[in-house]
Amino acid sequence: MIKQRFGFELLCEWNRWAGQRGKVLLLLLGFSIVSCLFALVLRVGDALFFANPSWVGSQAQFYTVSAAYDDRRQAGVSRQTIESLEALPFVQAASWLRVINVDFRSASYPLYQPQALVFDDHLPHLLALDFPASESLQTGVWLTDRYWRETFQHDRRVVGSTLSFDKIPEGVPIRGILPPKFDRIGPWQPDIWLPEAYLNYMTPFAAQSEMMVDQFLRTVPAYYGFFSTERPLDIAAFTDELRASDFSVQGMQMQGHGGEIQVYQGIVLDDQARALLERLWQFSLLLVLGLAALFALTAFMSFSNRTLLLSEEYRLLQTLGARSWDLLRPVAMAALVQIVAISLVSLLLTLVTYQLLTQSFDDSVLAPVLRGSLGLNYWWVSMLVVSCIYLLASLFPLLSLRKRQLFSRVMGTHRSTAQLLFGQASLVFQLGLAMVTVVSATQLFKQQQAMFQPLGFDAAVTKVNVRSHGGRLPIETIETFGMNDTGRAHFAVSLSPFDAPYTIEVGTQEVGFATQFEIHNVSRNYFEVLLSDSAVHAEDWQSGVVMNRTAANFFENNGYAIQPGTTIDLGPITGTHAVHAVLDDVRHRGRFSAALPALYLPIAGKGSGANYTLYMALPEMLTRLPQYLDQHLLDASMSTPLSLGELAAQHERKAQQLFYFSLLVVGVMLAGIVLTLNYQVRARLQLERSDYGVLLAIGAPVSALLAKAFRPIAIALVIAVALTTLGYLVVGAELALPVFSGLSIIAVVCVGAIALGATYFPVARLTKTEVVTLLKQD
Amino acid sequence: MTNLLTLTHVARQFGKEDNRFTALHDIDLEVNDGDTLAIVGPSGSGKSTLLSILGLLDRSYTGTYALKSTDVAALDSKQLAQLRNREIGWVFQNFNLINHLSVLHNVVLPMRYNSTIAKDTYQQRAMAVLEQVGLVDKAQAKPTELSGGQQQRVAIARALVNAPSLVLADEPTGNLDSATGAKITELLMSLAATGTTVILVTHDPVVAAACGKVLQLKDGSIVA
Repeated sequence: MIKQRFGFELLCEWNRWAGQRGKVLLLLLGFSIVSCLFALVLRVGDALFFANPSWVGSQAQFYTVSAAYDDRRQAGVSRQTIESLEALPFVQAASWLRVINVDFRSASYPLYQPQALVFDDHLPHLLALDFPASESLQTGVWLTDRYWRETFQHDRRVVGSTLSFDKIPEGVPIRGILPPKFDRIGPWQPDIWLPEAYLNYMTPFAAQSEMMVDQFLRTVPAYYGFFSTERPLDIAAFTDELRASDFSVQGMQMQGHGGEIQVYQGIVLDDQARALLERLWQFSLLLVLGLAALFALTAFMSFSNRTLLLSEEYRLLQTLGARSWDLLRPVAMAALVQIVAISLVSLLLTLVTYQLLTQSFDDSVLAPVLRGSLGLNYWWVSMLVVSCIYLLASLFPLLSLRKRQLFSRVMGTHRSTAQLLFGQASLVFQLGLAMVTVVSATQLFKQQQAMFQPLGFDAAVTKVNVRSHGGRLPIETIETFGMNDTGRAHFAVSLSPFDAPYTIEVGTQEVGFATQFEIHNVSRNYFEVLLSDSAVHAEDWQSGVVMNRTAANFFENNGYAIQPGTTIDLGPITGTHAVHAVLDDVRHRGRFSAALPALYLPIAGKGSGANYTLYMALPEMLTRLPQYLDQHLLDASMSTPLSLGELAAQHERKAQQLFYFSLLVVGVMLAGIVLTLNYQVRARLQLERSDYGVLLAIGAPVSALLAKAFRPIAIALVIAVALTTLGYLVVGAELALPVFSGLSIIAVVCVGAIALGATYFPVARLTKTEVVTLLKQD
Repeated sequence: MTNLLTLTHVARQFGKEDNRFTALHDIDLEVNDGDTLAIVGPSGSGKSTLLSILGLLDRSYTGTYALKSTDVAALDSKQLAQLRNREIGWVFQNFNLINHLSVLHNVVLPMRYNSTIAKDTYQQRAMAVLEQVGLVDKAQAKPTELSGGQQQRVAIARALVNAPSLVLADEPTGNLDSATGAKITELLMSLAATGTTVILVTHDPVVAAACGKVLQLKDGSIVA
């Protein structure tokens, strides 16, 4: 050690942090968290603003053309519109996709109108889609990985088999299974991918009427177009140009859906979700920057205070002949070692957090931007920024030593005006941030509470999913199965899982608006079994649709009054139905998920299926169930019974993860603020300990000491309140944030209490020290 | 005797304009190799100010200061640091040892800033000066484990380790009892025999009497 310069200087630095190593550890952890969060924000930001979706293989710049509504929802445009793009000189290539439900069936597995993503022949080439090798992309069907797993039970033998379809006698061959990245495309989770040629069989016209079919397919506004250009495009001007153009097809007229043509930069299929993600991203970035600023200020203040406390040692070293670099070098080396520690913890945190995020939000709005690997380049950028901040915070305070007189009668712990101002600004920032954090946390809690609604069903009901490869469940008799003396039904059935019904788009061409509706095909006694006091009874509900309150509100908000008997057209597959009743929302995915518009259709006349979900209001019925199934179904397999309450709880846990994650961020931030405030007070007390010793010596009460210590914080709190209020006045209106509300008062009181607590304990500790010790200047 | 340092018309003022205060007036001084000089005088007479100028800690003076025939005003901060490191050894009233380092490391410290000394010789040289001050057995101890007298001897060892021409001591016995103070004074005076010049500031007439020369200051001027 005597001969080694680096080892010796690192040892000195280690010794100089004596008594403050816990704080250094917290700082390192804080910077690790900042680096981790910053890397994640960069990753999400890149995916959101610059990169193509993970299912697109090409890195080229594309544009999307679709229709758009005022609320940023998207809808399709006509194929005529997209085909006209190809004629433009600056457009290199154009292609499209469309989503449609098709009535394909399988001899071995039950299919229920799988959702097909129909693609143009050019699409795989244009977007460099990673389709499995196949002889032809013009015929056949590709299964998505999710659909293959869920519906075909991982059966590899289905590749090469044929799906049947009424209008195609030879059937549709299954070409392959797509990689998981094709599971989610924009807002859709398609079941299959289908070449455009099959659209000819999915029109109101016979496939042989080629002209009519072609005109219909070119007119129907259901396509999302993609195109590439030779040079960057002025999107606004091009959108205006398209809106002014006539894309009608001669001989075919169709009612529009009310949206206007819009060109987007990049592959954009769910602009509404993207807008939400953009807001979430901006909020996250703000939080990360706030956290980074907090830790940067804390680090700067820590190193600054440390330099003051060590000023006598530094002065001695300079007296002994040390030059500025001799003083900077050990600090820089120690900072580099600390940065290595930060990077190791940060890397671990980033990898684990990203893994957790991708698992937790696999089926949420975040899923599209969390697909694929993390990409360590984001982490490197983040670490570079954090390292620079840490190095600057470490070394900057030492620069003041260069200007200092070595001969001075003034104690080395004197703070310059700039340091005092900086410390005060740091306090203002921390307290302001704490107030914003408290307001955000309270708002988050309020939103979560507001979303909380009763389940709307009997949580004790047990459900079992049943699969069968043969036989027929007598749905007509299910209403009476399990009927006891009370007259209440105890056994109901639905064709789709309770929490995962299939969805259809209601609206589009017919009604001038569009949204996704859940479709539940259920036995007529479904509500009697699931609701203890249902207004819908099996004997009354012979036909028609039961809709939930959200669905009815949706129609009513779009100018369609819903009453029993009102007829609604749900498209060619689902058909036209009269409204039987409107019921309160049933929270199929727990109490923290917003209810979607839902329609319940009776399956009494629908024959049989092969996937069933059975509901039992009496637990003892479970023992009778296997025997009952053996009588009616061949080779039936049964899932583990689960109460609907447990099922809802699973969803609620998932829904609350985001809430808890946000609370965690808020908690980390508040804890960081409390710790840094506490440290700043302690550092100030340390520097002014002889002043406090004098006050104690002349008999000052503890309250006087507390007042002296709290004064700068109180001043900072007043300034922070003023600045925060000003900030809310400026941006609050846009974000609909209340400026003067109970929340603001709660935030000020909370932060004031936190600041007072952070001041009180160090002062109380100081008063327990011997006055003589305080007065001694070492 | 060779001249070590010369001060010519050196003056030092503190403060600005209305609050200007003159700490030293027109000081002329010559000190030779091997001299022992005591600077005495009442509080506020300018003793410590003069010592800090001699020790190259204070450059805000007027007049000329030549150390080893070099006008120190012409040196930049890097050269000053080098000169301070190689030619001057400091002993302070409060010892000013670094408490988180061992005695040995405290003594080695000045050598780390002296590129003319090979790293391999650090330990040997440090142990040699510790032997000179009688503290070899305390080499691994921390300063806080030593008595005041022992700490001051460590400070002297540190001052000597680079073999400086000049040792400056600011009230070296001020924090010590009389017996220990006498031993420290004896140690400092013994340095002169090896050709090292010793200049010390003291209030203690016994210490001043041990020195070959005494410089008395009053109100910033030499009175004797």
